[in-house]
Amino acid sequence: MPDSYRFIDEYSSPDMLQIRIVRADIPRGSISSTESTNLPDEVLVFDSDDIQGSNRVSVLEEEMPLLSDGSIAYEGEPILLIAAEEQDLLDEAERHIKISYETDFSLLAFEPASKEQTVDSVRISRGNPSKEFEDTTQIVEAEYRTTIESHVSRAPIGAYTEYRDGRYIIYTPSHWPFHVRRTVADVLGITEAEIKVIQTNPSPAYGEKVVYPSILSAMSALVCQATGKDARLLLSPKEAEEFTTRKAPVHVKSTSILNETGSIIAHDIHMRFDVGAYPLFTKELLRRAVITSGSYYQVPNVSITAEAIRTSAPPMNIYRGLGVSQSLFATEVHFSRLAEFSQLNPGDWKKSHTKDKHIITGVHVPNMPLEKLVDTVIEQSDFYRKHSAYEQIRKRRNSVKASRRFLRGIGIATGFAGNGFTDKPASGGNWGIRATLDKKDQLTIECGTMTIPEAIKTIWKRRVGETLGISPESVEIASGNTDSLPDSGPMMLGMPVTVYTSLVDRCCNYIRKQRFNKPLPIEVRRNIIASRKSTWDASTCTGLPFQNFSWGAVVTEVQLDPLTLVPEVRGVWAAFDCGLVYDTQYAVSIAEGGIYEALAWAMGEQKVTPRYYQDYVIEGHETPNLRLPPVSVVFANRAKGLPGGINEIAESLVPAAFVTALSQATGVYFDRIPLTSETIQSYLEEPS
Amino acid sequence: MRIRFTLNGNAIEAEAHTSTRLVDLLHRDLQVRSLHPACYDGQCGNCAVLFNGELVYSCLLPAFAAQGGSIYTYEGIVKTLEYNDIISGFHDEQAYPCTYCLPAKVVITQSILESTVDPNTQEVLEAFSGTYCPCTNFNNLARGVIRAGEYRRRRLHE
Repeated sequence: MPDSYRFIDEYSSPDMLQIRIVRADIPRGSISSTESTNLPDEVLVFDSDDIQGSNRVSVLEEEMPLLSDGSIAYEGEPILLIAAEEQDLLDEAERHIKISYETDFSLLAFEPASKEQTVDSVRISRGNPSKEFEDTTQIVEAEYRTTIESHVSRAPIGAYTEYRDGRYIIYTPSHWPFHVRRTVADVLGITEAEIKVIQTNPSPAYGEKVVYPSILSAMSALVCQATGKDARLLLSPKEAEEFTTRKAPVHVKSTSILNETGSIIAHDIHMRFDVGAYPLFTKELLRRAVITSGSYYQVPNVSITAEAIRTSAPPMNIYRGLGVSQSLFATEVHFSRLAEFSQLNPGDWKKSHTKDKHIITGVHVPNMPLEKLVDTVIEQSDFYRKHSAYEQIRKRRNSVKASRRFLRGIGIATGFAGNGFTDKPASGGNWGIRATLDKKDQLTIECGTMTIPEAIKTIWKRRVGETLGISPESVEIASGNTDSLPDSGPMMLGMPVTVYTSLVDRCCNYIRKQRFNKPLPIEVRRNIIASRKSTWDASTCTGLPFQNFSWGAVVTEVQLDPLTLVPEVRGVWAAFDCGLVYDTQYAVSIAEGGIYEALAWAMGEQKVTPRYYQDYVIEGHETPNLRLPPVSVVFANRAKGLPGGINEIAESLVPAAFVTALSQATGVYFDRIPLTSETIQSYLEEPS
Repeated sequence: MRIRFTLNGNAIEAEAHTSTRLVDLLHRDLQVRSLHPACYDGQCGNCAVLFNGELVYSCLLPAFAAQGGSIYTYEGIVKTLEYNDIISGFHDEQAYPCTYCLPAKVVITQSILESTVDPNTQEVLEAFSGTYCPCTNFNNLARGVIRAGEYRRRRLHE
């Protein structure tokens, strides 16, 4: 069976050492002593002193320790590795290891946080917002919050290392195998040439397979280096959920100034992300947050700041979307609130801002499709009629609790998500892909992230077929390992669908031009280059920040049971423009999946299964009516151009539309997710 | 203790401790790779098997409960014509579970179609309510199972 189909827990050998991580059980402090007396002889213990190379895991410009070097920055931080052939021995060893701590440190909290906790910040501004704030009388202030979201992936995560013929062979389900190789080389103090990384089945992931496999690989390689034995480290499901990746919580403070007609003349947004004890990809997270937060709204005076706050929580790591869903939630809920002041229907209000076709970075986007998308969802959802009707009903109602009918509301959210990195990190190396056309007119594409989703392979095959005039069946996506494939960077932020697809296009264009000038085979490699340098300025966040955009408009209709306060989604209508879509049915399927996940997040459900959309019959609770909320998805198909990511924009807009709808239903301004019946109850009890 | 049962139609005799769970006996000792011991509390559904014709999550059963019983896993179903019905139905409705959860989805679908070849959406969602995986769009999955039922009916009436 190919390695790309096998899961990491299927790799073993007879004398293999199994590894377990001994973690800190305090959130902050320092280690005063470590005792491991009466350990079984077969158990080996490793700490940071056993590391031959560097005890650091570097991710672009940031780093974190592999094993604690004496200080503890979060509860669960790895301190020791214990290894034995039997799990029972590891259980026994854990009971014999005693770690004592000095705990005269205060915790780094998220709210409130001190200035020293700010790791990094990004700001976009235009006009003169501070002057407007001085001169005004009508100010709308609000604060928005999202909490941590854990991932629900249950596929095993770990690493297996063997030493063969003078090289370390590492098996791991990484979405960035070349980062695994670099990390292991640094930790073991050897060259990258002495390491081969083979990707095992990574299965669907939320971001936990981007960096964490590098950490686990370094740990298993460390044990292998010290003992000469094969070594395997598998995380338990609990460890995977708590330590691999989580969506960072955000606290957003939005202040807006309106003139007499309800138009916004100044806007100040201050976002603070809890990035945990060790921030990673911080610059990218903050840039994406300010850009999507500023969105396409035409406000003359704007200041948007995003800060990364270091706390004593486990590192949040890289979660799907990287800040976009949190910032879009706050922005869209806030702007829906502002639309109320303008006395315009929120749909019309949103459309009025799409005319200018500029985004916050100052760049003109001539093909911005938002007006069309908004029209589509408004028409499909019967938004105008429902919105007016629900407004009338709400205004006539005395209180939520006194109501004998379901309370209904409808909300709209619009925006975009960017595909690819805003700026290729300076230390990123040459990320690229390679293509070879052989004498039989077979084209082979080599990509270093190795596991390319089937849908993207189909896109590549069809585009190659169109460019080179060969059959899509003649296109092969090569499998391999770090010895044979080029480094393509991490598989995240829509890289495969947009960035790699553009590289495939560039490779094919080159081959097409050279095809009858050069003898076959023709091999070409194309790297990610900063071709947009002339327009994108990362220091000021101006210009065109992304390779392309995925646009969306979403309407959500909800009803709330006044007795149980359980919200139910009556329908979701979504329209997206994600560039070229080859298979609309498949794209709809992806978008629907993203919408269901977003609803689960917004409604406080951790797991996306039908049982969590139960519409309980109030009389006689025994019969749950299992059903999924009806979802309608439309794609504005483009005939040419690059494809863009779907999941991220679908997930990011739904929570804002949901919360706005619930606010209309109840007349209460909700400003956080998740919203459970308990949370709704607490809002209703607050004095208005 | 010694446990005797049939696994995908083959007689099996295995040694297991009384505290061993069925999923560990099957996955770890008998190398049934389609099962994934993950949550150990019946939440994820990735260890679904047919035990005496009933859908069970093998992480919730002690291994000794298998004594004298009959177990069917994905490996057994995949060799049958019934598997073709399921995969054709999934394919028609673009229900593409990932390689991690596909075996469980197939086993659960088989259990649905064994009780009725004409399931409705409610029945399908109920049967899948003990599973989760980020790859799955349950709309497509429900339609895929219903379509698989159509294939099954057509084949049985041929």
